[in-house]
Amino acid sequence: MIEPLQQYEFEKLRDLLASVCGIVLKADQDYLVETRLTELANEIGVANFGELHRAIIMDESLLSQVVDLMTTNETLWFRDDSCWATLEHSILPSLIERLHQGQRNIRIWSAACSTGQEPYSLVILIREILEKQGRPDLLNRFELVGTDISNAALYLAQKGCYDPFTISRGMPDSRLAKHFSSQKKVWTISPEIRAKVKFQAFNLMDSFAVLGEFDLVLCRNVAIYFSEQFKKDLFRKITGILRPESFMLLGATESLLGIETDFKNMSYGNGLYYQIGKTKNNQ
Amino acid sequence: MKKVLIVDDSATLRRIVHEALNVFDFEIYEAESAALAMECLEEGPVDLILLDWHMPEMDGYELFLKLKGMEEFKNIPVIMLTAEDSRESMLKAIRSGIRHYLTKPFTHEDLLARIIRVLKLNQ
Repeated sequence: MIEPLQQYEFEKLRDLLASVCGIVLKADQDYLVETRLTELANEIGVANFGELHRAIIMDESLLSQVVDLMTTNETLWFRDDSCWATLEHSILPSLIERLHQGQRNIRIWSAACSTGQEPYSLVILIREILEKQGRPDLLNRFELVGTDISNAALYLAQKGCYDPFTISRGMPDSRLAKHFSSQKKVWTISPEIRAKVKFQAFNLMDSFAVLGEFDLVLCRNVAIYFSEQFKKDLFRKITGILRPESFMLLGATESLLGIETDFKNMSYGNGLYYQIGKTKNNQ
Repeated sequence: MKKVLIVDDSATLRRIVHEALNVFDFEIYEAESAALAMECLEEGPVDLILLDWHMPEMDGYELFLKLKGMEEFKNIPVIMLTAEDSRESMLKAIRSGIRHYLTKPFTHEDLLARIIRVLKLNQ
């Protein structure tokens, strides 16, 4: 068993988490570090948290596990009504219009997709809009990428199976009946919807270039955990992978206030969203 | 098939956690007290115990210490699911060998993620 966390070890780990992961811990949150990272430390066989600090610096794969353990996974279906109204009535019609005008595909990134509710909600909405337009075939031209730092969350996202409590958090009955099957109180998303989302593990501290370009990035309730510098870097990197005149959505309580970016503030009803110009300056 | 034992005196909590675990192909057992958990374990070991702290008679932490002292059960990983949120209790549990400590109300995403991690389901 690892030795209890010492104050100087906490300070070193806190500084590392802030500088490398952008996670901000308060001075009295030493117990969080010890209670959440002890299992990992025991698993890799270090004797104390100083050794864990060194191990994290040496092995980048440990960093993802640390971020995963230090942050909370929580997500809902169709989280925040104003966001989904904005998508339904403003952003998605605009993206679908691009397909009509000859754009080959529409690429959407759910940047911290946790257990899959956000990208699956999005596929359901896109499918419904396209069906209303009489063009369900256009769904084939949407590519959705869901990333998260948590391998465990992605494992669940890929399974696409949800318990009644998780389903009850935002999934309307009509959509449940249409897009899920049920067995032994477990709801499984339809194979067609599941197949539309490509899930992959990804650390938002890394370069975004490997992900390709996108028409829409959903980065909702992600930046809240992180430092101001991390937020600036995050939005600069998102700008870099957006196609011209493309969109970004943040969480209902988040904004770009006080952060210099190339985004224009847009709104639909109570929903705020952001659009990049035809050219980008600040990459 | 992995075997998981849920120990909690609240039938509602046991049901909610049981339903959450149904997304995996687990054999799930429930016990409403430490004594019934011991009876269940005597039928055969499990791969994971999800344990409430505050229960009448023997509490969850006492049960954990008892299991830790028994050769056949000492290596069963335990995740504590509890309303007990003092830093002293959390540290006491983790320093004694509880693998993870989730305070109620925890998210299902976090619970399932910890279970995947402990049982290495994604490897």
